[in-house]
Amino acid sequence: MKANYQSDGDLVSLYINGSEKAFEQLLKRHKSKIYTTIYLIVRDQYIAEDLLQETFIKAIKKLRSGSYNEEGKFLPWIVRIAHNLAIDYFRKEKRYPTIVMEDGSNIFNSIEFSETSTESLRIKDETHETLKKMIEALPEAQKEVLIMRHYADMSFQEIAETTGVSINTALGRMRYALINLRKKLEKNNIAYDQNFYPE
Amino acid sequence: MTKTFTPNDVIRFIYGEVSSACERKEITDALISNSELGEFYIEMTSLKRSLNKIKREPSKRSVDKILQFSKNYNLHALS
Repeated sequence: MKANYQSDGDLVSLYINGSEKAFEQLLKRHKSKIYTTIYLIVRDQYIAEDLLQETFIKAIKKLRSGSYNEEGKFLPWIVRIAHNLAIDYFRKEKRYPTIVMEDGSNIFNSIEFSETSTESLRIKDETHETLKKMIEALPEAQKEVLIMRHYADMSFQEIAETTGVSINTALGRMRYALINLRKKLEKNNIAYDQNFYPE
Repeated sequence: MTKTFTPNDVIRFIYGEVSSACERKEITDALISNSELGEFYIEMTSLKRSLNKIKREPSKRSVDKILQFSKNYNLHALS
């Protein structure tokens, strides 16, 4: 069934040799992971969209320049680009606070992109919003590992290499992140919310 | 000799990072025989399902913009 499956490394090679289809495949495969990673750091869907584009623009330029050398590890590489851009943005924003709307988006974005407001309505599920806020409130090191493992789909080995810690430390941070989330969910009495269990 | 597994091993197991079939079987056995570990497994898998619910998708507009940039960049590079 997976006879036609092409690895990220294969697709990168094809793209470097001019195949736009290969790039389309890479984008389709990883867009959600990268977008969610950015989104959980910057907490604003519109900024996340911009940073997603910026991430891929950087990646495209690097791949096309012929200087890409990640030995087939495309995902950890591009997640690192996304993560750095999101952290940079987050730090800058801390210095220049913006007016934030009730749904967590920037007021200026709401004006500029009002046509996409149906998207923000769609994701307004209260329970998921609560969980999202709990993730955001985790200690930085725990949040980083949780996002990279769960949303960016990086292995613990890749996370350890990216963040400069041992695999055991990465695993320990993940464990604490999950335990902290579970405690918070219990405290908020939403651990057994029906929303969490699909019919 | 019975191998002892920790919550970190359970997390590796949940996230599909136990590559050896033998170790997977050992962990499965430990989850059954060790109630504390078994409970931890149930709670963590439940939490994992919850975390899956907040996976996000970028808009089609952003995706199209990225694809367009790539095509244009390619053309620019070729010309």
